[in-house]
Amino acid sequence: MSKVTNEARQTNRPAGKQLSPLKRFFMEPYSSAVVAIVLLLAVFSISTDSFLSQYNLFNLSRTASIYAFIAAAQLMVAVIGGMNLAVGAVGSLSTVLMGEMMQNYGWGTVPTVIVTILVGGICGVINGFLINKLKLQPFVITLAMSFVYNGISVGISHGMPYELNEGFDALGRQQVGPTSMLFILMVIMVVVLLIFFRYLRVGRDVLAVGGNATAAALSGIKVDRVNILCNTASCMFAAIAALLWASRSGSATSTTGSDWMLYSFAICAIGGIRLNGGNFTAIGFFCGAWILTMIRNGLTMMNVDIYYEQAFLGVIILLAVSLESLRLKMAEQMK
Amino acid sequence: MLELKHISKYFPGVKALQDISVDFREGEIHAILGENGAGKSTLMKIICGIYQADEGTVVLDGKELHLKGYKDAINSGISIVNQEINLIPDASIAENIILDKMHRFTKAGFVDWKGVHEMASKYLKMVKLDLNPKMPVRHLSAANKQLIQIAKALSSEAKVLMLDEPTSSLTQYEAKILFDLVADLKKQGVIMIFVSHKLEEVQAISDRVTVFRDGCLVGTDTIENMPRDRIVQMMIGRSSSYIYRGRLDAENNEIALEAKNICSKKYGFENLSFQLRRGELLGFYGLVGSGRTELIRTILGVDKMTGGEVYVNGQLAKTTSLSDSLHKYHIGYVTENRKEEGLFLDYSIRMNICMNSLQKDYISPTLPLISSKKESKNAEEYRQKLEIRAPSIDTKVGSLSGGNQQKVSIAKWLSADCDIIIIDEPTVGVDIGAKEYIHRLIWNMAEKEKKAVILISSDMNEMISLARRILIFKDRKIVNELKGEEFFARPGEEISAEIGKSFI
Repeated sequence: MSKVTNEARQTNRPAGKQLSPLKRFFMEPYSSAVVAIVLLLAVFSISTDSFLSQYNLFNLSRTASIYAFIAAAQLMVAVIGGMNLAVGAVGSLSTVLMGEMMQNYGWGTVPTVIVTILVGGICGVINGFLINKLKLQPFVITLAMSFVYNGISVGISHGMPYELNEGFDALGRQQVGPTSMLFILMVIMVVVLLIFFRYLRVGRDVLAVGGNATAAALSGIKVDRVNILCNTASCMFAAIAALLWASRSGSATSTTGSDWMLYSFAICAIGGIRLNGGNFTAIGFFCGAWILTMIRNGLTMMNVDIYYEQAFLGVIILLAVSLESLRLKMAEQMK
Repeated sequence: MLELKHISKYFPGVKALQDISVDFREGEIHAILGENGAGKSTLMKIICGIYQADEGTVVLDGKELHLKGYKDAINSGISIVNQEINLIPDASIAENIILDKMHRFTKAGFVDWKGVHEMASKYLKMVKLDLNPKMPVRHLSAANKQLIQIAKALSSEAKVLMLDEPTSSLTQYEAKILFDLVADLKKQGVIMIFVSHKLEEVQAISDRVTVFRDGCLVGTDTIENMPRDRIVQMMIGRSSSYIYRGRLDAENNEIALEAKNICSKKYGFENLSFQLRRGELLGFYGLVGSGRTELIRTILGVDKMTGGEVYVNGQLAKTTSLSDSLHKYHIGYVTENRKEEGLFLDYSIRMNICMNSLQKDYISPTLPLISSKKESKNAEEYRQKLEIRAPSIDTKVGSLSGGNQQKVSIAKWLSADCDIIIIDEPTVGVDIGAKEYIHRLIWNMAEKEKKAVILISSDMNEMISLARRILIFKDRKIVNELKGEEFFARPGEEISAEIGKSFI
């Protein structure tokens, strides 16, 4: 018996099929994001004086961290092949509710934070429930719900800004060594996601549903539950992003989140996360948030006319995803 | 006349078709029959240019065809109507009919709608549908949609019309409308190739029948010379290369799974019962759609059980979902379509094998985190045990051969430590070497590991060389039970003849 398995082992591993480390790197879905980040760093640090300054890096790290949370909101549903168009609307609603609690009800910071995140979660449960029950595409449901959440947010606030509790902005502004508190939160979040997808069974269930929902159901995974879970996590991340945003900017208005939905997709796409589900890459995701922030910041540094910023941003995103498409072609040939 | 001359087609490790020669004549309805994996769909795909034959030629009206794709087939007058309905729901009937020849009705970018509607009306008349061609397709009945698909196929001036299970989504009445049309087209001299699993239909409408088994043509004859029992005998075959594996002697073991009076509205069966003992290998044998897979899906909670009870180890079991069946009652189900229902093709072998057994790979029972080390060890163990041919456990399952994919699919459930394992069509599209290996694996599950195993298969050899008790399914009923260790020690020819009798 052992002889048989020995022989099998030998035939199973054809010699010389090991790929070189560089090739293996290019096989990874995050490699184009890493290449892009290096290129951008080079371009911006050569063409501007202050891009690599201590202060700018601190600022960059704060913004990138918030964008990472916004993108995490999209990631949690993209990984099961869904989407959440209400990322920004939930952000807006969370901001307004937080302002209400702090300004009009005099709540302390801790209960406000907890309730805000819970409200985000409830929005997600509603989204997930509707997607399960109505059996419609997440696109339609979350589009409709984004109007609902946005409407409630504007309705409550009438568009007026709120005053936040004293000291609430410390989190967003605090410096920790060479970097910011927000950056540390981002690292924690990425690590948590990594643990979730790599070491937790429920994370595997999520990946299974994203990989093949029918096979997942026939493997005894409760697909509906996974869907609710992912939508809940998605909206919770949006709520957390709203809290961090308010803490960073020091104010809370209902316009928060108006551009989040597009950025959340952009970061996932740049980070090599397939929007039709089934893959998660922590490094790519991390780089995606940084790339987007670096582009925006770098363009300002280069004194690009602010009114044209979006156009440049679009072109650079296109270049970043072209890298990914090039990589895929190369990876295909290497096989 | 459409002639196939010595057609062979190979897939890696599998001979899908072997030296097939058959002719299809004008004004003839020619039925093609065969069980799963017999080679019917490969043949269809070769005729309509989706696959190219490795050997042999396709000749239409004396001219050799070299089709490079379905478009070439349409241009040569060959059309196929698939079992699924491929129409654009919100487009009109006329638009659907001329969709693939829109260019003929376009001048300087503008569509000649009058011409389109005239043409559509003409073909609607041909399929005897009195409908306004401007009507959207969405609200039509399934039968009408199917007829429109045929009108679409005809409108490309089809000389050859292939119907691939055209009635699978139709009611009996709707099917009759379809058959009337088919009879009509026959008079107009169209060559019709009809693929179906429903023997009654085949007998009712076809002129000649060709039966396939294991990629070979078993026989072609006129319908008069093909009574139902002869067709079935040809489809299921006689066991020639049967290996007797020995006895299991499980008659006195405790009962692991018992189903009592199971009913299903969805599948239309009532009061089906069976018992399964530990260390037993019970076979469910029958044609596709006879109720064998449907019964299992109902018991496991994939589809709704409208009556009856399931007992696991003597205890009443509430199997309302597969999740319960797996985690509470330790029942594993290796599904029949491994690519669609069993595997995660984009994921590694490691992830696939460990999908249902992650709790085994936890760092410790109190710390429910998956240990990569244990996971790799587990996956590696099964890769070696099942001799899965792959560079490493991190290879994507999608890049493996059919046989190795099936091994991964089985490994997933073996790793989950199920006490009861149900295996549905384990060797469809699997090469011979892997097939023998998988058979040994299934046998060992029952003999060595004393698991309770149900094998669902339409492969006669597989069935009698593994199962030591066989339930025969026909028309969603259990019509016979074959048992007794002595019975299975007889020559394969005798056993298969005995099974064949159950179908008459």
